[in-house]
Amino acid sequence: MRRLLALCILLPSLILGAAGAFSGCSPNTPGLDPRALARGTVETLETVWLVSAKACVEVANDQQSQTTADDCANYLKPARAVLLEAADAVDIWDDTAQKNFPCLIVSALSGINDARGILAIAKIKEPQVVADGLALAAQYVPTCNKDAGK
Amino acid sequence: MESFLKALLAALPALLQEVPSLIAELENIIAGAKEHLADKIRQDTQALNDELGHLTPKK
Repeated sequence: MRRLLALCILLPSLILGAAGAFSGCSPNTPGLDPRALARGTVETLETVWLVSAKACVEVANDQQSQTTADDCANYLKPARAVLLEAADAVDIWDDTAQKNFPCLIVSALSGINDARGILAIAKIKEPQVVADGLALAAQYVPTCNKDAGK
Repeated sequence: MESFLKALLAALPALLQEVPSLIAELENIIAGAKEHLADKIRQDTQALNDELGHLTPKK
C-alpha cells in the first residue's frame, strides 16, 4: 500500500517535471534578439527616410524653393550615409559593430528629424510608419548617450 | 542492414569529395547574406538620394 502511495505521488511529479523541463525549451518569456531588433530598426528607418525624402522633395517643389531643396539634401544625404553604416554594422555584427550601432542610429535619427522639421512647417501629415520607426530608433538613444559618457 | 552499410561505405568517398565544394557554396551564401541589408538599403534609396542631390525645384 505504501508502495502504491509512493507511486501515486512520484508518477505525477515525474510527468509534471518533464512537462516543466520541456516548456523551458520554448520561449515563454521571449527575449528579443539584439541583432533582429537592430535589423528591424534599420529597415524601418529606411522606410522613414524614403517617406521623409519624398515629402521633402515635394515641399521644395511646391514652394519652388532652392533653399528648402538644399536643406532637404543637407539633412537627408548624411542621414542615408549613416543608415548605410548602421546596415553594415548589422551585417557584420561583431563587438565593434554592436558598440557603434546605437550612435549610428541616433545620428540617422537626428538628420531625419531635421528634415521632419521642414515637413512640420509645411503641415505634411506623416504615415504611421514614421512614428513607429522613430519609436524603435529612440530605444537606442540612452545606450548611445551612456557609451558617449564613458 | 549489412547491404545498407556496404552501400553507405561505397558512397562515402564520393560524398567526401563533395564536402569542399559544399563548404565553398556555404561560404558564398554567408558572404552574400552579410552584404544583404546594406546593399538592399543602398539600392532602395539610391534614386531618391540622387534626386536630393540634384534637386532644382520646378518653376
